[in-house]
Amino acid sequence: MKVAKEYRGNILIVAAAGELDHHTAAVLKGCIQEELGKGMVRHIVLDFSGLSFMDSSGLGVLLGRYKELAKWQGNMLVFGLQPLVEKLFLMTGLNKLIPVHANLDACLKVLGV
Amino acid sequence: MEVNNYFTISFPANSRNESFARVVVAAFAAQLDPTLEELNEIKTAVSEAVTNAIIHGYRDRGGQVVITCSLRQDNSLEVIVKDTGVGIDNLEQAREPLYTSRPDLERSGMGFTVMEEFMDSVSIQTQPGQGTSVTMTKKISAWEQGGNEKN
Ligand SMILES: Nc1ncnc2c1ncn2[C@@H]1O[C@H](COP(=O)(O)OP(=O)(O)OP(=O)(O)O)[C@@H](O)[C@H]1O
Ligand SMILES: [Mg+2]
Repeated sequence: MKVAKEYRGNILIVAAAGELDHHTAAVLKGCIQEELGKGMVRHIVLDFSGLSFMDSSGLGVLLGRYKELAKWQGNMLVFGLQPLVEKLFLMTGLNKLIPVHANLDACLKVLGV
Repeated sequence: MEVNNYFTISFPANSRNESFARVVVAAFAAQLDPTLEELNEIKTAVSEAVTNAIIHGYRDRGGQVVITCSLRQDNSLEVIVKDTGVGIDNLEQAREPLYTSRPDLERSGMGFTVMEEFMDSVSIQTQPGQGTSVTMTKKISAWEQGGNEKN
């Protein structure tokens, strides 16, 4: 799995590409935790357009980061879900905590940018 | 049910083998001409069962995971994922959505639910101290109808 990050103000945008499973979950967790540790992140937007696979290990990592953001009422949004990943989001109800949007602009709009 | 073809593999309970396991099963299942969606569902279910064997069955301390896969006459796939790890004490509780014995590992307790959702049947044989065997079946849709995603 490959992870890339950038900022729009205090919004952290994380792009994850490849396969998110138990083996690769630590990469995504490490990347986000490193940024959270800097104390500048208010919200997180996930770009999953390059993510071809995800299982419940991915749910765990995302929920863990969601809980961190909740400490300061930060939001987590996601866009670009491939059909399998979207199915997992809807099936598990993860979309209720991490809303699914069509693209980055839609996410930024929700966050008032 | 008559079996047309099958294979068995055994590999160390190491997380790096999770993607290997799901790709092998998907490659074998390709003989049934599944849709991309069906293949992805099979991959996800296999990933769940193998991950469970590694982190729960063997507690990340290693062991062997055995996968037996067969194609049956009714165009269905059967996958058995087996470990000889710690087993499950309370199976009813384990199958409940959101139940996890390892919140410390950031597990969400959705693995069995995902398997049930993506496969037609999921049955679990387990014996505390002996190990766990998860048997999943999935019928692959007939080639004729629709067929837009068939390759
Ligand atoms: N192979 C196994 N050996 C021993 N215990 C298991 C095994 N598979 C599952 N379990 C038990 O069943 C529980 C539920 O499993 P399930 O896959 O649904 O959730 P999880 O693995 O805890 O979380 P998630 O799959 O969402 O990451 C586990 O927490 C574990 O206690
Ligand atoms: Mg699991």
